[in-house]
Amino acid sequence: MSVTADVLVIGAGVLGASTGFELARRGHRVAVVDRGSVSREGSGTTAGNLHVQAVHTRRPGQDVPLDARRFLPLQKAASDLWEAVPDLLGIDIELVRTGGFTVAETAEQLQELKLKGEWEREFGVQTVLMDQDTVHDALPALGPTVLGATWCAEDGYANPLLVTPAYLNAARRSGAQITPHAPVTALSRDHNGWRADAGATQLHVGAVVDTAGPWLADVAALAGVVLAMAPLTIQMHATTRMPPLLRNLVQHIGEGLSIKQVTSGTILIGGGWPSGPIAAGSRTASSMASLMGNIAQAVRILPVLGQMRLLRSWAGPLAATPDEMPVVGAVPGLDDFYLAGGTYAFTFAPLWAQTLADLVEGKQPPVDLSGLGPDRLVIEGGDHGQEH
Amino acid sequence: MTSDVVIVGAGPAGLSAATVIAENDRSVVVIDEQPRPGGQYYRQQSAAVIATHGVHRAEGAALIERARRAGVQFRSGVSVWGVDDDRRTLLVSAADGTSIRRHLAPRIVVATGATERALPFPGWQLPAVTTVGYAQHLCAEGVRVGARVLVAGSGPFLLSVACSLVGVGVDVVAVLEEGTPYRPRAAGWKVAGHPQRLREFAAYRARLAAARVPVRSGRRVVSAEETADGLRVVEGPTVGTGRARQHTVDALNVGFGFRPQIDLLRLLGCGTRIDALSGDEVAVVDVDGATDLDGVWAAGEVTGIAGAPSALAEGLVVGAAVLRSLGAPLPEGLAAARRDVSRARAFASTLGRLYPAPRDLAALAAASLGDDALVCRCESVSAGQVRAAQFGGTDLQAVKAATRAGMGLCQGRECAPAVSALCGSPTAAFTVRPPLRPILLAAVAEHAAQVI
Repeated sequence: MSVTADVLVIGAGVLGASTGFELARRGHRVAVVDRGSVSREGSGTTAGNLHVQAVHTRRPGQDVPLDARRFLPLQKAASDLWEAVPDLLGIDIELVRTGGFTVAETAEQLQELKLKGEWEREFGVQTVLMDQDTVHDALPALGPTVLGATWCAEDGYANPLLVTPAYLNAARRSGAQITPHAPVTALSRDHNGWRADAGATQLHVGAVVDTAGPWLADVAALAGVVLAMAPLTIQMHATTRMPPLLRNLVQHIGEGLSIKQVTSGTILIGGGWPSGPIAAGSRTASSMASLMGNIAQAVRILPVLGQMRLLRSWAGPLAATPDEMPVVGAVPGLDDFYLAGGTYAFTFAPLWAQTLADLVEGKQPPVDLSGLGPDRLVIEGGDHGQEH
Repeated sequence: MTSDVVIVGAGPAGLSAATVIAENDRSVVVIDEQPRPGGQYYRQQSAAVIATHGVHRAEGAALIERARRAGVQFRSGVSVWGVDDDRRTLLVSAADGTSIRRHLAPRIVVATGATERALPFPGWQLPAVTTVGYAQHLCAEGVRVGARVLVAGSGPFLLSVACSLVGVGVDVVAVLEEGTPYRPRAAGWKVAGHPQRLREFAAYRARLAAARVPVRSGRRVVSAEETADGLRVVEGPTVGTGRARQHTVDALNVGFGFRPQIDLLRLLGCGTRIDALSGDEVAVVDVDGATDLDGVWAAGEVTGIAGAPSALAEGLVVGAAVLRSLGAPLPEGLAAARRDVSRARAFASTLGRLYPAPRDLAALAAASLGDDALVCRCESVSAGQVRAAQFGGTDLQAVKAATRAGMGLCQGRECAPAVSALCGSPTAAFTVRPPLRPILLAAVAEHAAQVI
């Protein structure tokens, strides 16, 4: 089958789905393809948090801290965009903005909370610093090791298993063509655009958007650019369904930890703990060390969780860059080739969708992208792919 | 806890392997979820039940006694919920999910048996609908699942359970068999080569005939619903058109045979394959029951459903292989056990051909379900929702993610055959993840403090 479109979006995770939708509703003819099923890899395994207050800087085992201050204006912009997402998609994506705590357990971590509070004020993110008594009054379930916290009323979460399919359905309603199980195996430039082989389909498109998540670099390599990016794997844990007992997102300033109770009643515990090595085309094994470490930490912060039952663990890829920062922008040396990926992609999905759509249209993106472009990751290449 | 060998599962295969190993002076620990050894087939009743109703399957009690005398250490009432990152240390908890212990043994025998295969029909979630295995357990304790009962599904086990029900005074209104196994045909004649099994089978038929229990082949449950008078069950033909019948009963007991319980093998990382006849995922083993992992063996139903006689013989064969790896001499009876295994497997295969293939039963169940019918009971997911998982296609994990089917308390143990059939991927299985059983977070945290 041969398809002509304005834009080919490669990867039907949350970034591909939201970008496909954004482009389609702006009137572009869009084809979204995925190597497998939609919403499966990182987007199907993520915790689904909407991080508004500044994030902790290191997952367990992470070599380089991320630049939490650089994140803040992006988080603020994404948070504002998320407000409109349920109406745009027209279904209940279980989006809740019931606020979140970021807790500290040491004097040093309390200092980090203060510092992050200064950055938050700088970028207009509203947070409240709470001392030990205040935070225990606000959330009595917290354990005795918690010495303080920051509270952000904007923090929240949505159901990632609903968000990506909803974006894809909305994209389809706006005319986008969604094709799962169509791995892109060839990308080449011709005089007026890109040619791509995706499964049984040959596409001829004006522009390519690479949102392939863990395989973002593999797709870029097909176009002749080698990027320094390799997927990691992280793990999540879920309890059996419980009656409502936790309304807020609970995170940790010094350690990888996120705890929340989702609409189903399940309590999700994550924080970026590593799971087994990634295997192409198959799932990674859960790590028992991470399971135990993450659970022990969660029970320490919220001792009431000790009486819950762990039902399931799962693992998924995280498309991490060496500097732990997102990557978004045009690929240097390639015409009409854009990409977005990297850490916190779920939180940033509506923002990167607008950004990519603006870049495709040659417009100014909604946020300052300095330092976030793919140029910093290019190892080699940047010239055009093979001419037909 | 340390021992030369750890065996998971105290049913016929595990008991038999443990006994031969212990009788040859090697230390062996048997871990089992049930409060007493015996597994499902040799399930041991409490002392109070035995005092009233006598011992059920006395040979099981004798086998357990023999194992104890040989020095087998039983750890009953505990579950293996995970395998540590060394892919060898078993993480074991009390059956209520508390108090984690580690069990590292250089040799593991997985004899985790089978679970009943459940297939959906409208009303399968009602409390008056149970599996035939559950009804059988109640019979063994002298309890009637109801005064009037309908037995349905497929497989020889239906006849055995119907007889047990009759034995405790239940009025069995009929046994509905989806296939037509009781017509004479070429495959049936091979059963004649197994006179003892044939006698067993004839005895079931005779007993049901004497109790005037009709066994109707080519018939299945169309639906069940609760009414003021009891459970109203509609039966109809398996294929084509035919007369529908209605029954009002206290209970409907349904069974579609058994599925190998291979989740621990998968967590250990053992190779599995799809059994051609049943479509079930089974352990890949050699003639000694060795898996593709060094030091891990599998015995009994996890290598393919063949019944208790086969499991007993396989246990001995695997026990012998474990002993050989420990430098012990070959035990007596090994050659006979090997013959018994191949006879039992041949019988199981012949029997399997008489009844509909499980994957066909699942496909029929899936195709017959209206969109409103529940397919995943834990998460209340309907057949229509699975069918409408637009982007899911035939990828079972994607359908799960899109619908929540298989995400509930049973982790898809019940609905997997139906959901995989509904999404057109009949041999697909849900990914196995720890914990294999729900475990208390406090127990995990306490254990983490000890080991990390």
